[in-house]
Formats: sequence, structure tokens, C-alpha cells
Amino acid sequence: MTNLRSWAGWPVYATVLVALPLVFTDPHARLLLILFTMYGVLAMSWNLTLGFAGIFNFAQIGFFGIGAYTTGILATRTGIDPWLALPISGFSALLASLVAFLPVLRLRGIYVGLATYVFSQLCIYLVLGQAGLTGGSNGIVGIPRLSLGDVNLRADGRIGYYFLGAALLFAVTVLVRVLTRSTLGMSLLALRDNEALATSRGVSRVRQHLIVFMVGAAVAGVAGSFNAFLNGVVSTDVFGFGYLTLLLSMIFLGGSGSVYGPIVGAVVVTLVSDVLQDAGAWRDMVIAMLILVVLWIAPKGLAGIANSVLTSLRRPRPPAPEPLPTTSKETV
Amino acid sequence: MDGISVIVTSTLVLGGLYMLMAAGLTLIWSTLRVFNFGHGALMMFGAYLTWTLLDAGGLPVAVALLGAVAAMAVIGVAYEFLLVSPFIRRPGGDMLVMVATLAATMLLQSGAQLIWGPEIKQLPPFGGARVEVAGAVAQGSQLVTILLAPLLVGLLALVLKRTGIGLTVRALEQNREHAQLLGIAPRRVYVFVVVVAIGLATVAGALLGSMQFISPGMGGDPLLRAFVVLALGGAGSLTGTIAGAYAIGLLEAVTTYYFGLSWSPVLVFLAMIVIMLVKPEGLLRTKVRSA
Amino acid sequence: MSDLLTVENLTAGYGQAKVLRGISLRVGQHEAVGLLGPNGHGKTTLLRCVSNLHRAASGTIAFAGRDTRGESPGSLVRRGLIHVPQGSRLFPQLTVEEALRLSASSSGHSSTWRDGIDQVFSVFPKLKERRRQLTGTLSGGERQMASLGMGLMARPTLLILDEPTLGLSPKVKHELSECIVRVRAEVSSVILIDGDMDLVLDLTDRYHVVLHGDVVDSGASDGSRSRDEMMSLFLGGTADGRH
Repeated sequence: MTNLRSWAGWPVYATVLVALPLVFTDPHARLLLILFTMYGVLAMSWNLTLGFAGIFNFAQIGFFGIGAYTTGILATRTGIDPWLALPISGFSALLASLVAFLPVLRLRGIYVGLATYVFSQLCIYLVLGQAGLTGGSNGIVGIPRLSLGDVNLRADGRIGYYFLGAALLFAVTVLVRVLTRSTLGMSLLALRDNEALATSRGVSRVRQHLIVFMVGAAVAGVAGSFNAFLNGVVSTDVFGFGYLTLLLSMIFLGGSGSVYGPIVGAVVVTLVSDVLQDAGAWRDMVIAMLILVVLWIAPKGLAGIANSVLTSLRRPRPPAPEPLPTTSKETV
Repeated sequence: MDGISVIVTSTLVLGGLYMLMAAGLTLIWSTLRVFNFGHGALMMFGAYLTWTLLDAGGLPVAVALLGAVAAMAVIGVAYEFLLVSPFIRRPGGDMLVMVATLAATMLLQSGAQLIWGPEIKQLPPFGGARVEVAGAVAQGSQLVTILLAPLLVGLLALVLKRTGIGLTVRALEQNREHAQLLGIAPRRVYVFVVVVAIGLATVAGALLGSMQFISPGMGGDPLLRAFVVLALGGAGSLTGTIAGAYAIGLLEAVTTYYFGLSWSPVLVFLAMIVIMLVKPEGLLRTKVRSA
Repeated sequence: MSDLLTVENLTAGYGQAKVLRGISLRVGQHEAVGLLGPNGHGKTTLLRCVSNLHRAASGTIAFAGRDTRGESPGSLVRRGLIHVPQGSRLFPQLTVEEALRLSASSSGHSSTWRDGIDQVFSVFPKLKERRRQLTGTLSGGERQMASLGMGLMARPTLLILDEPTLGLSPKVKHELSECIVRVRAEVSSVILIDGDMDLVLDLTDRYHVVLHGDVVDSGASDGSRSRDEMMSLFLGGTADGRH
């Protein structure tokens, strides 16, 4: 029963993804749809480490940027088939994640946050320092567009990019869902909630965290590549504060403990950000306030609200927690 | 000889700036157990406020700075009430505080852009005195930084060591629960600590704003250097912070001199990552306390 | 209503685990009450609720005639409810004198801290020798003395002592229990928890046995119950020795 219910959702999800651009044909609406998919992919991939594993990973934006720069460099300086740049960018982000993971070996909690945050900032300096390769502060322009046979993905309101993004989003959703339900996912939750107990049961923290770190990084690298192809340019903005806070607001608005929450967060924040795109600094102001308000009133995000509404609908009155039998001996 | 004197001056200036930033971060870390990722933005805001008091208020630069410190104290109280205390006691609160302070950075940066516009500002030098010691020259704001930073941080160390409020801060650092049982109200101490830290950051901001420029993003680099200082000096020790600040200042001055501006930060951060790997509790720290 | 402390129907726990199950208790003026019972049955949680370090799920606590709900631990301290916690590592980087002085100032007695410290040194002569030493370098017994001394500095009307002799060698324990007798003479009311049943019965007027988060037996600490009866109570039986 639960199986049937859980698997019935996927065809519906796929159908909705395919139908969306047929409903929204206006070029601006199509662009928003593309952004939904890209941000959805990024937010979900980040949430693997930040939400599920509880790792203070603030290097995700670095992986995204590394993916974007890998694509920028490959597509403008080598004759490589642009399509190959997508997986290669994922791979280069994965390699970078091995470096960013080093601090996680010995540090915990907020210290990891510090080190990984510094890693992302370090990427900016590296890009600026290697101006010959990366274009320095000018960035990389003229990245060729992707095309499938004779069809440019930009054609018809960039519909090709939308379907590429939607395919990535679908794949990543399945990936995250499978991962979180797997023994890996279980052990990550166990490590997050009680590390001592989990490791005493033979769970290797470093191994499990490394796996999820690499998976998240590879996905972010592919998303970065997608972003580079979509915009045709790459600049150090991809490592910047704007993306960082945008993604954080998506994750926390959607719900950092949930599989699908970040997708919802991506949609809402992308819309808010689009409405305010001419408002200049007010846009950032609103996004920052959005994060804070969510943290204040609903720290589990929209997913948390939805969950509690669903539970209260299903069970009008939650039964009182069962009292322990009074004869039981409590141990110290 | 010329190279060495340049390095000496910039070590002392950079060390002073980083010390002002890192001392506040250390104080907040050791009492509240959170890293304030908004510290750079608060520094920037303090610099802008100083500029406004100077430009619009027509006050002398030192008075303007004092006024800005007072104004930032009010912002500090709000900061503690709105961004730190709502989250700090929650499960997983340290991540929430980190995200909240990152959001605060964005809020302050966009706020500064709205209030002061995109135009870059600069503060006049703090005095025109010039000192030359064995070929090393320091003048104006450089000289003030070299002298004022260790003076203020030394004063802070003295307050912590000798006064009642200092005793309270140290007690809360060392044993929060027992401190509460003695009647210490953690919230008051937190507000004190945040206000002092922001005051020091404001001074750093004004000094930097007179040596370089004031812009919404000006706090980013000093904040990152201050993090490196914490990694080097141990996040809970003021002496470690002072030593760490000069060490990082020296490292940056030397690498900038020999490898150039774009490679220096890379080397500094690589140093941080290496330190965190080999000695997570900080190289300069002798007494290790469990976190 | 001349009771100094009344606890009624208190329930409390940590997450799903219930520790206190409707416990009630009172401590009168000038009275010492002992709490007995095996570890892990809620004695410490009860005390943490009384000093508002832990929030009770339900029930009421009143101190000196006033409900303590919502009151900060600091406010209770200034009203004279002083809790000396179990096994505190104190403040490792503060000296004995700094710690004592801190306790006086944080409880609102900063102006008279010198009188307080003289009183503490007369009760604990050893602390006087150690006054310049960091509390982190004290021995176990000395640390307990410092902890009790800090309690005295706050001028308690109700002093709560949680396991003051825990982990001490018999010799040090003996020395400390003599100090506790002197402490008892200085304050109005006392709640004492200790693993040493004889010490508790010697020092208190009444006792309660706490088992599974509730009081299962109470009485005067005059030795009317035998040690064996007590032990069998601890094991979950009744005072008659039946299980």
C-alpha cells in the first residue's frame, strides 16, 4: 500500500514536468520554469549534506561555481563536444569536494561551516588569480549553446534547456529520494542525531559523509555547467553571496529536513526574486528577511507546516504518549 | 631594507585590524558558542555610520567614530535579540544562527546600498602624525591602527580579567549551567558581549574606511582573515587571538610582497585549512578545552 | 502556609522519557529534608525543576509563598534559593576567591562579599589556603568545598545540595560531612541528596524516598526505619521487605 502510493507519484511528477512548458508558453514564464529546475536541483543537492546529513557544508556554492567554470573553460578553450562538459563538470566538482572534505575529517559542527565557507571564498581568489585561464574579473564569455542535432536548445523560448533541466530535476529527485531511504540515508540520520551511538554500531562517519558530500558536489557541478550553458557567460558571481543566500532561503523556506521541500522553496523564492528583479537592493533585503522570518516562525519550513497540517487532519486528536509501566527499572 | 620596512608596517596595520575583528568573534564564540558570520557586515555598517556622522553631522572624525560605536551598540542589542537568542537554545541552533547571521549580512549590505547608494565613500585620515622607526614608516590612520588596536584589545583583556562584568563573562564561558545557578543571567552577558564585539568591529571599519574605501562588501575580506586568525589562535582565547592576528598579518604582508595580491589570500587560506587539519584547536593555544 | 518550598504534582521529563510522575514535596522553615533513592529516579531532575533549570511539564512549585513558574534561575537565587549542583567542574580558570566573589555579586550581595568570604573561610578553613588557586586545579573534596562555599556566599534561605560527597574517598568524605554540619547551622532550610544514607539521615529532620519519579516513603530522620528497610525500598519493594 505504501509502496503503491509512493511510486504512483512519479509518473504524475513526470507528467507535470512535461506539461508545464506547454501551459506556460510565454518566453519569460519559460525562463522561470528553467530556473525552477536549476535551483530545484541545486537546493536538493545541497540539502543532502546540510539537511539530511547535518553537515555544516557551505562549500556547495563553490562546487556549483567550479562546475560552471569547468564548462566555461572546456567549451571556449577546447574543441570538446559541449554535451561532454556536463558530466566532466560534475566530475571536477566531485574532485573539488575531496579537497573541501578535508576539514570534515577532523572538525565538527560549526567549525566545518567555517572551513567550507572559507573554501567557497577561496575559489573566488583562485579564479581571480588565474586570470589567464578564467578571464579573471571579466569572466568567460561566448560559451557556445547546447544543441541536439540541428535543434538549438535556445529555440522556442529555450524549451530545450527546460527539458534538460526538468530531466536533471527528475533524476535528482529520484536520486535524493532513493538515497534518503537507503541504508546510507538511515545511517546519515543516525549520525546526525546521535553520532556516538551510530559510530558505536559500526557506522563510519567519514565514509558516509564523504559519499554524500561527493554526490551532492557532483550534482551541483552539473547544475553549474547547466547554468553556464544557459547564460553563455560565467563570472565570479557564481561563487557569490547572492547565490548562497538565495539557495539558503530556498532550503529553509521549503524545509531543510524534507526531500521535496527545497523544490517548493526553489519555486517560491524564484518567483519572489523575479517579481523584485527591478527593485535592486530591495530584492536582497526581501530575500534576507524571508530567511529570517522562516527561521523565526517555521524553522521546519513549508514542509514542516504541511506535515503538521496533514497529521492533524489524519488524527484529529493525537493520543497521549503512553506512560511507562511504573515497575520498569530506569537505568543510568 | 625597504622591503622589510614595508612588511613590518603592513604586518602591524593588518595585525591590528584583524585583531579588532577577531577579538570580537572570539568573545562571541567563547560565551555564546556561535560564529557571527555577520561580523564583516556590521563592521561595514559601522564605517558608513562614521562617515555619515562626519559628513552630514560635521563632527570631527574621532567624535564621529565614538558616535558610530554608540549607534552600533543599539544595533548590537537588536542583533542579539533578533538573530542570536531566538535560535541559540533550539536543537540544531548553531546552524540556525549561522544561517541567520548570513542573512543578516545580506540585510546589512543591501540596507547600506539603499541608504548610502552605490558610490564609494572614504573617511579622512585619523590625524597626520608620522613616525619612522628604523626605516619603517607609519602615518595617519596606519599609525592610529598600530597603536589603537592593541590598546583596545588589551583594555578588553583587562576588563575581562579585573572587573565584575569580566568575571561574569568568564564564568559563563567556563560553566554555563553553574553560572546560571549562581544567579547570572546569560542574556545580559550575551548582549554585553555582542555590543563590545560590534564596537570593536566599528573601530576596525572606520580605520579601514580611512585607509581604503567604504563599500557594502568591504567587510568580507577582514571577516575571512579574522576566521583564519581564530583557526590559528584557538577560537576561545584572547591571547591566542592577539598572537594569531599578528601572525596572519605577517603572513599576508610577506606573501603579498613576494607573490602579489592575488596569491596572498590563497596562501593564507591554505594555511588555515592546514592548521585546521593538523591542530583543530588552534596552533597558538596551549590550554585545550573541550568544545 | 509557612512552608518555604512546596512542590505539587510535578511531572517532568526529557523528550519522550518521563522522569517525574506527579511528585509532591514540602520543605518548612528551618527544616532540613533529605531525598533518598537510587540514581536515575528523578531526584536531580526534581531539583533542576525547583531551581528552574529544567521546565516541568505540569504541576506547581512555590518558593517563599510565590509561584516560581516563569521566574529566571537568577531571580530565584536573589530570593534565596541556592542550588549547589552535582559534580560541577566549577569554573576551571577562576581562582577560588574569584568564584566566591562572583557568587556574592551575582546573588546581589556584592557590597558585603568580604563578610561573606570570612564566614565561608571559617566554615572551610582549607579554602582560605587555596584562595589564590584556580578551581580547575583543586582536588575533588576541595572542589566540593568551593562549590558549597559559593552556595553560602549567596546567603541562602533554602540551600539545595545535590550529592556533595559524590566520588570522594572515605577520609575526604568525613572531612566534608563535618563541613556540611557547619553549613547546616548557617542556613535556614536545606534539601540534601546524597548517596551516603547515614549522612543524609544524620543531617536532616525528615526524609523522602524517591523511586520512579515519585515519593514512595517519607518519615522523620530519627532512625525509626532500619537501614535494611530502606535498602529494600530502594529495590522497589515496600518497607516491610515484600516485593
